[in-house]
Order: sequence, then structure tokens, then C-alpha cells
Amino acid sequence: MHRLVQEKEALNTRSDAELVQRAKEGDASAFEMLYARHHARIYRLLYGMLGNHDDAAELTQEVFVRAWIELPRLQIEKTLYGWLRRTAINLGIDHLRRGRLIQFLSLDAPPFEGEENEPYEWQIPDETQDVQAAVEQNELQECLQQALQHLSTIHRVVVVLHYIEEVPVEEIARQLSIPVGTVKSRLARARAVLRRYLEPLMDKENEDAM
Amino acid sequence: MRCDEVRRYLSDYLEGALSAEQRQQVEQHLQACIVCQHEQRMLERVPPLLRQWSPSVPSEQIWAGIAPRIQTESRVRRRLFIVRRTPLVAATLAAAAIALVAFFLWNRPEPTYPPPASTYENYWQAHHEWARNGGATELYPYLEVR
Repeated sequence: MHRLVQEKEALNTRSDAELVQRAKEGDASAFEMLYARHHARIYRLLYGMLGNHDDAAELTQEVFVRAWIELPRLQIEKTLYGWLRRTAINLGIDHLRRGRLIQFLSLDAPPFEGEENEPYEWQIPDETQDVQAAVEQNELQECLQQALQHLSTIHRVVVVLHYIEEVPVEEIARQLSIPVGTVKSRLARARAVLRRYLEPLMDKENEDAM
Repeated sequence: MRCDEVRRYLSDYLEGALSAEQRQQVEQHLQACIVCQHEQRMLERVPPLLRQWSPSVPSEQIWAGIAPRIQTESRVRRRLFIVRRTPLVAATLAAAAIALVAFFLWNRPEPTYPPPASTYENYWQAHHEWARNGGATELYPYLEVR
């Protein structure tokens, strides 16, 4: 057991590139370390897109299993996270399309209106496992969660992709198969809505700054 | 542009969604208007705040679903490795089979041969004589001699 702990600590100091190389050769411990490093961001991305924990967990698993399978044939030592994220976004969009939660447009179709009035049903996350952190950040996280909850699916998706994961607008447009202008106007509308819900946090920041 | 107009366009302005003319008008107004500058700052704070969002992640539960599927994949890889070795096994089996066949061929019961050709005018005549006398039936008992 002690040797296992030592090995894990040793792995933790390795770069992504080294871990990917080892994982390619079949080293499951190295792959587990890559999972440890990257899964939280992928999960957050998927949870943000899909709005429920079960689906986010299932798709996160899918992303990493695919990574393990595809790793030997990919040259992605330096861009593993980018690959993980692209895969996650694709899986998330497919999932939303299957559930008909996003009606994606062809370029000919008129833009849809009124969707922002349909807030998505969110599962409240089980915070019992991370009580300490939740207590400390409670107010901030509550506020952010509530704010995102007030967005419709399409607005939430572009917000999570662009504002949180910082995916460029052009790439979002490509992956969602909608025009760049549509992405921008959705972001603009979402930002204006979010500004209202996040105002308490902004006031608090002002106070802290003083 | 008036404040209320600018306020409506501000988030589009920040996304780069305005035409060049609109953008210029907004920027012109912003240079002079403190209230709208404040509103711009508030809007600009939205993304950094959102990036602090950190929902709880069921890390163990997720990994529990990944680990068995990775092991399966490892096993598949190992099986493939063994399959790549079978040409050697197949070659060994083939060699053994050949040796076995050769053994049985070598140990066939000695057939009776037609008598030497010199007894007859030609070989074919000798052969037919031999066949008529049932020589062929000894060698190939399952064949009808015509």
C-alpha cells in the first residue's frame, strides 16, 4: 500500500505529455492521474450543458473511456485537454439533440424567440460529500447556480462554452451548426440577464475592494 | 446615442455583434458617460464571476464507471497480442501434421507392383496384365478394376 502511494505521488509530478505516453502503452495508473487532473472541468462543462448530474456523470465516463481507447492512435500529448473538451461538447450536443432540448437551426430557418422564458429543470447537486468547501463558498456558488438556472438551454450552453470554458465563438458556431451572429446575440442576451442575477456578488466585490 | 439606447446595445457591443457604425456611436457615448461606463464594467464582470462556478463533482462514482471498461480494453489488447503469435502456433501445428502424414505414408502396406516390363512387349501390356490379374485390387481395394 505504501509503495502504491509513493507511485501515485511520483506520477503526480509528471507532465501531461509523459502521462499520455505511459497511458498509450497501457499504464492504467497514469491514465487515472490524467483523469484526476481533467475530469472536474469536463464534468462541469457537461453539467452546465445538460443540467443534471446523472447525464453529466455518464457522459464524463464516456469521454474518458473513449480517450483510453483512442489514445494509441492519437498524437495529442500536448493537447489532451482540448481533445477531451471537444469530445465532451460533441457528446453533450448529441445528447441534447436526442432529448430535443435544443432545436438547432438550418441557415434558412428563422431564429427562435421566447426560448429564454423557459428555464430548465435543474437537479440540485448533493453537497454532502463536499460540505466544507460548500460552506465556505456557499453564497457564491448558490448565486452562480441560481443565475445559470434562469437561462434557457441554448443560452446556458453558449454561456458555459464561451464564458466559462472560453471556447471561441467561431468554434461554438461550428459545433452547434448555427451562425456566428446567432452565438453572439445569444451571449449578449444571456450576459444582460446574468448581470441582474449576479449583481449581489458584484456589490460584494465592490465592498471587498474598498 | 442616448443612455437608454446605449444600455440596450451594451452587451451586443461587448460581444462584437454591432456594426461598425453602431460600435462607433456606442464608444463615443461611453467616453463621456460615467453611468454607462459603470454599466459596462458590471457587464464585463459576468464572465470572470461565472468562471468561479464549481459544482460538486462525484469523482469516485464517475471513475467507478470508467475503471472496469478500461480493464476490459486492456484484456482485449492482450488477447490481440496473443492472436498475433498464432502464426507461430499454426506453423508448429502444420509441421506436426505434415510429419504425421509422412509417417503414415511411409508406413503404408507395401503394394504389389506389376512385373518387370521385360517380360512383356511393352510396359502398358504388362500393366494391363497385372491389372487383369487383380493386382490393382490389392493396391486400391475400394476401386473397381475395369
